Amino acid sequence: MTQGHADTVAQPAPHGVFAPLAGRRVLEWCSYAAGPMTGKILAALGADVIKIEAPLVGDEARAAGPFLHDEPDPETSALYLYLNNGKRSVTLDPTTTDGRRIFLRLLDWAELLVEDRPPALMERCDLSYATLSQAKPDLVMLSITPFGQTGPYRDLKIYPSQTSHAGGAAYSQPNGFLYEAELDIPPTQWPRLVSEYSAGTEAALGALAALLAKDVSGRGQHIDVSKQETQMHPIRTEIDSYPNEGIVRKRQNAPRPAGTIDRFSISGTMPCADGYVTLWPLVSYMPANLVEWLGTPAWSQDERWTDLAIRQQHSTEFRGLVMEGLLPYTKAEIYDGLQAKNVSVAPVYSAEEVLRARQLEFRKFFHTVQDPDAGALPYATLPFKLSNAGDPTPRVAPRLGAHNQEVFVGMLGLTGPELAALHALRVV
Amino acid sequence: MTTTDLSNGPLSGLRVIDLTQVFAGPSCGLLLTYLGAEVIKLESLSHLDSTRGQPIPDDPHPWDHAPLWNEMNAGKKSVQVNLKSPQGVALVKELLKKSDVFFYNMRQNAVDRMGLDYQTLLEQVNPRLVIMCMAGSGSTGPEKDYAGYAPTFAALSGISYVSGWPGKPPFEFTGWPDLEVGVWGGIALVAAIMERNRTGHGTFIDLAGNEALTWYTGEHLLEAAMNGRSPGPLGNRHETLVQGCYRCAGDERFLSIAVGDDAEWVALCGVMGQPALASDARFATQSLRLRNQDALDPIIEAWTTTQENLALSERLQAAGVAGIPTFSGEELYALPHLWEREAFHTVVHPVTGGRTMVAPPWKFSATPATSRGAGPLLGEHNAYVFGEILGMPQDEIERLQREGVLN
Repeated sequence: MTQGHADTVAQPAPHGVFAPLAGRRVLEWCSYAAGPMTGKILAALGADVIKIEAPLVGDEARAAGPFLHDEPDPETSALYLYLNNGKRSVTLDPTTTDGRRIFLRLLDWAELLVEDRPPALMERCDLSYATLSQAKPDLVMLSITPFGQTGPYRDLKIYPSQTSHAGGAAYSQPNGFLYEAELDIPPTQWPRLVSEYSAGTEAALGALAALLAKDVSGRGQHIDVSKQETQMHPIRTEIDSYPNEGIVRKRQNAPRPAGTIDRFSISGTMPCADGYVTLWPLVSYMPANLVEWLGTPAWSQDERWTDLAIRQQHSTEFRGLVMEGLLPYTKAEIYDGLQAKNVSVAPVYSAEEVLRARQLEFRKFFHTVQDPDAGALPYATLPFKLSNAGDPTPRVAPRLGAHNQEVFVGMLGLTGPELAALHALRVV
Repeated sequence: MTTTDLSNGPLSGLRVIDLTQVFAGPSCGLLLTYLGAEVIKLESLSHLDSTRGQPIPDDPHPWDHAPLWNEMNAGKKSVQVNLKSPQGVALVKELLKKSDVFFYNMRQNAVDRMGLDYQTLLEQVNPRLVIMCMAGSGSTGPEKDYAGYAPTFAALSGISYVSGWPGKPPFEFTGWPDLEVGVWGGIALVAAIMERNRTGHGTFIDLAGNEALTWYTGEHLLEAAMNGRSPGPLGNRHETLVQGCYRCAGDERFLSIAVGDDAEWVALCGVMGQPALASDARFATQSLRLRNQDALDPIIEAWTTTQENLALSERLQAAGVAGIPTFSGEELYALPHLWEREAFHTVVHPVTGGRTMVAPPWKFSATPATSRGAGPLLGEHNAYVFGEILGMPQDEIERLQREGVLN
């Protein structure tokens, strides 16, 4: 049982590198984080991604930073450089008449359009899927917007930092027993851009599936992705506990029914000598190995500890004792020491520590790319290795409009003067 | 046998053998069912998924009640085969000959010991098979055998470090990091299937959960390299937006408001009925509002506390201000927008009844991703897999069941 396209002409991967999307053309009209993440993943899988940026200012991420040496510069924003490596950049305003004409020619080149513009804007500019698919019936188009293409919330305005509120994830944060006493802390957003990245990653899976379907059927289609709904997927068990079990998952410091016992007894994120570790001795043998590593303190001989049922009733006390026991040790000592005893624990790594992590270094997870403006940058490779193909080498991120000449003149055949005229009108 | 019929979704016709447990792997399989693949879960009484919970005594279906299991395995098929038995392993190999994908989250050396190592599978069983090991930190390197769960992946990736409130501990992230790893598993598998279709060759994928989550901290890693520092937590704050999560009327109801510029600020003051606030010198510009947010937040919250969050968000939106309730699961379930978009669906389970679930996160216009049903009963598809796919006679199946090979 295999799909119908399985017997297309066999050809080796170029240079033994994993590039399943090699030769496939993607047009990205997205800004900031979620949509660009989708394009980044497709580029990392070998696609040729042309990114459309606003003339003069470019992608919003170029203005967001953080910047090299904290000096604002559209070419040294870490956020832009991270999210757009491996793409080509053109400047174009498809909402103008001339810009729309050029956009349609780019669309003719592309197989997949990824866009994150407001649905009402796309309609107003006659760029909705209904119109575009008439011009190009086999177009695959992925739209990623805060609330999707339909429904009463379609046109609401929220910022990316509000997605975890809209999608239910903020409501159950903070999570962690160290916040139990922090009664004034309200529900808290997912950190930084994690919600955006999550949305862009789920969208990328949808895009890949649609490309695979097109290989089989020859047909294109529209994929409507709502960030509110992409946020609901990873926390689905929390949301679904309401309609099915009548439980509303709340943050750690929210009022709780009396007698609620912590699910994981002695687990949690705990301070140590040089930061925090997160400890999860969830398998039956792990707590015993943990106290052995702690030097078998007197409390671990108490039957209140050795009897699991009784221990659960004193979880707060024992968690305090475990925490006290870990406090003198460093993250590295706890990580290697407890893992040698098969106890699940990990250090809370800062960004600098992630870059130095031994395991990632062994797996050659980061690849240094020389950026012409920002210098040597550590780009992550794909988070998986293949047995029969090497990692694709991460590529540099484009300067704003770096490929205007190549794309508009070289590919679409505009003349130099035509391009100059459009530039003067700020269409490109 | 080939198919070009995609009426069951974009991955119609793909058969996936799922030997994963708990969250990350099963959530990957769940997404594949939504996309139309046939996902067959390998189970055994000798090695049951812990999310099936404790057996219900004196129940004809002792293992089929657990909500978590039924959530994460909805739409899959269940077959019982004991992988501690060589005959069981041999039957799995027969099944893998007729499959496209095999994935697991056991340690690689445990799979190797069973004789299901990827070299043997690709060389002797099915050269077109796509195999994936979903490990916490990958299946090579000095930490390959380190034990991990969702919160440890988040900690190792740098996500935890930027969580929490300034000067306070990082949050614990349970559950969802696993589901993020599951999405990445789906990406790896579909990409490898596309490559297989192009080259004719299957492959082995060694996926690392902590590496997947490190894709969500990329800009911090570049910043660390560029400026030699690691960004920390922001609580509910933002570098350029004046934003917060404010208590509203009712039991544990909240509203998120974010102000991006002067126009939105003036509009917010208007909805608050405090136009004078707009000319308050402390809040005259975005940078002043950001600097004086400790003074501003109590003013906003004094106003929101008496209001109903949903109605207030509608008033804010009408004025052009980005306000949205901080929805609980209960509030999401009551939101007409989500019902109109069919963002929930209900599956019917023969033992536990109806289960309402968050629907797939994509709306495909031509090849819909939809629910394929409830979580399977333990062994519900034994006859289908051994009889129909493998063509084994009924008496042989029953004999192997008695002998503990198929248990």
